[in-house]
Amino acid sequence: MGESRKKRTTRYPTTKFVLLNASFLTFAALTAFISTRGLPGGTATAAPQRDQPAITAGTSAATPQSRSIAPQANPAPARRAARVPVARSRGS
Amino acid sequence: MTADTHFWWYASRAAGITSFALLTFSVWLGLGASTRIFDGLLDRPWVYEVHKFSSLLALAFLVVHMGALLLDRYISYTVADLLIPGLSPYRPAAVAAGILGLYTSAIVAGSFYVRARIGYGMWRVVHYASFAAFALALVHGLFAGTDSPTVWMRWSYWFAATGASYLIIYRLLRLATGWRSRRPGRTRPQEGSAHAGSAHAVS
Repeated sequence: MGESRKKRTTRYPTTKFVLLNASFLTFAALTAFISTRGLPGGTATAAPQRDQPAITAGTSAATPQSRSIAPQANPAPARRAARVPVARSRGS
Repeated sequence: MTADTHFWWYASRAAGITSFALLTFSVWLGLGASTRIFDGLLDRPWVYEVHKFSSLLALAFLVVHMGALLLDRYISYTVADLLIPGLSPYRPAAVAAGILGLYTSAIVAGSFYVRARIGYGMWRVVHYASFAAFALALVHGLFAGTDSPTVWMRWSYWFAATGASYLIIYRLLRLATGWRSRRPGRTRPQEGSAHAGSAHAVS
């Protein structure tokens, strides 16, 4: 029948489906694993360094929350801090 | 999940690692196909399709990696920071390597779909850029990755780079020793057809 000769739009769909799901599972597992490790700071992980959290530069709303996570190092260099208020106001 | 205010930061790191793993897988498959190291174990069309699909998946997770960085409030990247090399406030050189790796990967992945249009020779030349994409991704991960100093991540990079290096050296050695003319089932014209050796070579 014509059914059996139906055009295949995808080759090896099962393999691709498995690969896709394996990738998402890996992503989810890594996200969970990394979140248990927390933010880099006093640990051996490479911490992006910045004196002030980006969200606190120019605003005060998120500061207590950010501070409560950990006495962490903060990621960007100082010149970022100067840019943040502009970015914040643009975003909001 | 702890500290879920930083979910996007964690998701970005995970997506970056996943993307690098997929890129590594794709590079290994491509090199494995070109060296025919999988012959007898895996069907070549299957290897080619998975190679192609994994490179697209790597790009997709790269987009997730960048999208999560935009949503994240830990560093507060802007679109320009993520698309223009050198603008990143955090380790600009290493991030620039990642951005260039993204563009290179996108060109290589896109070349799959214009292969008939640009011709096999040009496609193959473009495809060599995948080595640069892999190297740029490796440099980006090593020098910009938050998790790079950890043992598990270092071993992952080492494993990925060693596997790719082995396959590249193997491929070069086989090319240097004239392996093409010894393949069974194929006749190789001795002279006069410049394209004969490339029509079956690979990705």
